[in-house]
Amino acid sequence: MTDESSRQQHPEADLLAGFAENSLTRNERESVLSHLAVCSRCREVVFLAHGVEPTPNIQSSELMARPFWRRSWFPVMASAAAVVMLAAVTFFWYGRFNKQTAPPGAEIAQQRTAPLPVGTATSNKTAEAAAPPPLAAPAASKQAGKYAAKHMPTDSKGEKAVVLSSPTNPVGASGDEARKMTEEAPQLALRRYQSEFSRNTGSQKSLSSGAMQGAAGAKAETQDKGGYAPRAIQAAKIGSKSKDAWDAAPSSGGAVTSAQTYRQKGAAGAAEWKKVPESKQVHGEGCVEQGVEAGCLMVRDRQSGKLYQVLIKGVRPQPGNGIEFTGVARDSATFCMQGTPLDVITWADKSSLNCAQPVAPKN
Amino acid sequence: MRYEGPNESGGYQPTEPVVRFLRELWHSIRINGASIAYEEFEQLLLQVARHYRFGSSLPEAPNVEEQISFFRSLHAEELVLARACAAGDEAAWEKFIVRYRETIYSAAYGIAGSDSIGRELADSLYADLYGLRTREGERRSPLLLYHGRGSLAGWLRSVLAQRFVDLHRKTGREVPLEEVAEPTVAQMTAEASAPPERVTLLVQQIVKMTLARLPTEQRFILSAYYLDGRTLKQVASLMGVHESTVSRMLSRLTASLRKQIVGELRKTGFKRREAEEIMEVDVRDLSIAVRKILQVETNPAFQVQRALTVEGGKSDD
Repeated sequence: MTDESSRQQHPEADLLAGFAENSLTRNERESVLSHLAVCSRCREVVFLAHGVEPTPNIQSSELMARPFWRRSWFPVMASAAAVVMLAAVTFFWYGRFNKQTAPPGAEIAQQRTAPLPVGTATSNKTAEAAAPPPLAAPAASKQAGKYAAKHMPTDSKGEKAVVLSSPTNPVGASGDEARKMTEEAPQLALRRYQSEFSRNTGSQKSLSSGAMQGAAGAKAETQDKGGYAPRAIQAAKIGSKSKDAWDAAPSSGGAVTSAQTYRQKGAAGAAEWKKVPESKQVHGEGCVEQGVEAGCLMVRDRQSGKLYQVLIKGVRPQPGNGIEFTGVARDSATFCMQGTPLDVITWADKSSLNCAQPVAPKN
Repeated sequence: MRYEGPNESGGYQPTEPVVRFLRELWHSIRINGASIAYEEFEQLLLQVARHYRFGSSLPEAPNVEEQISFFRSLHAEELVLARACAAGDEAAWEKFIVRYRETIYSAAYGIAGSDSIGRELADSLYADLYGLRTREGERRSPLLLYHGRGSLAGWLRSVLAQRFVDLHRKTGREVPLEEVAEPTVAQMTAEASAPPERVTLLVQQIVKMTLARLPTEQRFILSAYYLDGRTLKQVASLMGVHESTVSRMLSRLTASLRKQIVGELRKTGFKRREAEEIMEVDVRDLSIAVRKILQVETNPAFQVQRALTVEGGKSDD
C-alpha cells in the first residue's frame, strides 16, 4: 500500500499527538509506529508538530510576526534601561567621589577648622585669619579680605586687596564671572607658581606647598557641580594657606600672587554662596550615625527630629559624636536612599550632646 | 464484555470500580473549573473508550485496571473544554482563547517557517475550530475530533502540521514544465550500465523481504533517517531515547541488513564476491527499491472513520 493509497488510513491527529507525547497504549504505539514507518506524510506531520515548541508570552500574532528588535516597545524599553543604568552608575561614582575624593587643600582647611568650637579664638595670628567662624561663610571672606589688606597692601596690579572682599560683590563680577574665575583659578595659580619657581629658588619649598595645596584644593572643588558655599569657605582657607607660605618666605612675589588669586576665588565663592536662599539652608545639631549603606552618615536633628544624610567633604565626623551643622538640602536622592541629603557647608563637634540617648523622629 | 451492542449507546458498561474512578476524575476537573454534569462526563469518556477500544487490539474490553489506566491517560479536562467549545459555550471559548490562541499562532509560524503562510494556516484553523464551516446545515467544529489521547496543544499542533503538509504536497506537485529536467548523460550512462533487470528484481525482492522482517521501530528509524533526512537528534527526541542510542541502532541495523541481503543473494546461487559486487553496483537502484518498499504498509491498523474533516469537509490528511 503506497503512501498515496493509504490516505484514508492515516492515524488521527489525536493519536499522532499521543504518540509524540508517549501517552498511548503499547498496542496503539506499535500501530502508529508501524504506520509511520511506511507513511512519509505522517512522519513529516509528527516531526513538524513535535519539533515546534510553543512560544511563551506572546500577546498577538502581529507581535509574533516580528523579530523582537523590531517591536515597538523595544526601543522604548532599551532607552529606559540605558537611562536607569546611567543614573545608577552616576549615583555610584558620585557616592564614591564624595567618600573618597577629599581635596588636599580643603582637607587641610577642614582639619584646621572643623574641630574648633564656634567662636573659639586662637593665639596664632595666621590660624586666626585662616579659621573663620565655621558657621559664617561671609565672615570668612571678610577675614580673608582683612588679612590681605593687612599683609598684602597691593597686588600685582597695584590694587588694594581689601577691595576684593567687598561684602556685596567682592570682585565686582557677576555670578558667571565669579564662577569662571573660580574654575580657572587652579590653572592660573599653577602657571604662576611654575613661572615664579623658575625665578625664585630660595624659599620655593615652603611656597610651593601652599600654592600646590591651594591649587589642588581649588581644582578638586571645581569638580563639584553643586553649590558654591562650601567652596567659598574652603577657597578662603586655601588662600590663607598660601599666605602662610608667603609669610614664611616674604621674598617670593609668586606666592603673593597665588594667595591673592585664592582670595579672589574665595571672595567670589562667598558671593555665590550668598545667593543661596536662607530658606534652603538648614541648621541643626545631632548625633552622627552610620547609615544603612556603607559610608553613609546620618544625623537626626535634635530640634526638628528630621533625619539628614550629611554629605561632608574632607574630614568627616565619627559615628556616635555630636555635631552642629549647616548645609543645603538637596532635592535629589543619593545612593544612600536614607534621610534627606544635605550638602554640609560647615560642621563642628558638639560634645555637649548626649549621643547615648536616642532621639525619636517627630511627626 | 463487548464494546458495541445493537446501537452506539449500548454494549460496554463500566463496572463499579470504573464508575468510582470516573466520579473521582469528574470531581477533580470540576475543581479546576470545568462545568459538566457527571452523566454527560461519563458518556463522553465511554464514547472515547469505545472509539479506541481502550487502546487494545482485542475485541473484548480489557480488565478493570487497564480500563482505569486508559481513562487516567486521557486529558479529561481538555477534552471537556474542547467539547464545550464545539457546543458553542462562550465561557469555554474564552478559556480556550486565553490558553491556546498563542499556541496555535506560534505553532503555525514555526511549522510554516513563513509569516504569511503561518498566519493563513492559523487563521484557517481558528475559523474552523469556531465552527464557521457547516455540514448539512449544522456547524461542526474539528474540536469534536479531539478525544484527549494527547494534550489539546499537541493535537492542535498536529492538525496544523497535517494541514501544512497537505498544502505543501498539493502545491509541490505543481511543478512547472521547464523545471522538469531532461535525463542527463550521466544518468543515461548509469542506466545503461545497470545490472540486468532479472538481478534488479531479485535484489528488490530480497530487500523487501528483509525489511519486512524488521521490527516496526527499526523500520521507522530507517525511514526517518535515510528517507526523510531527519537528524539523529530529531529521531531520538521523538523516540524518547538519546541520540547516541539511535546512532548505535542505525550502525547495527545497516550492518545487519547488508549481511542479511548478501546472505539471501548467496542462497540464490551468487558467490560471495558477486553478491558484494551487486551491493556495490546497485546502491542507487537499491535505494530506490528501499524507498518503495518502505512505503508499503504491511500491517494496516487504522480504520479511521473521518466523519469530520479538518479542511473543508474533506479528509483532514
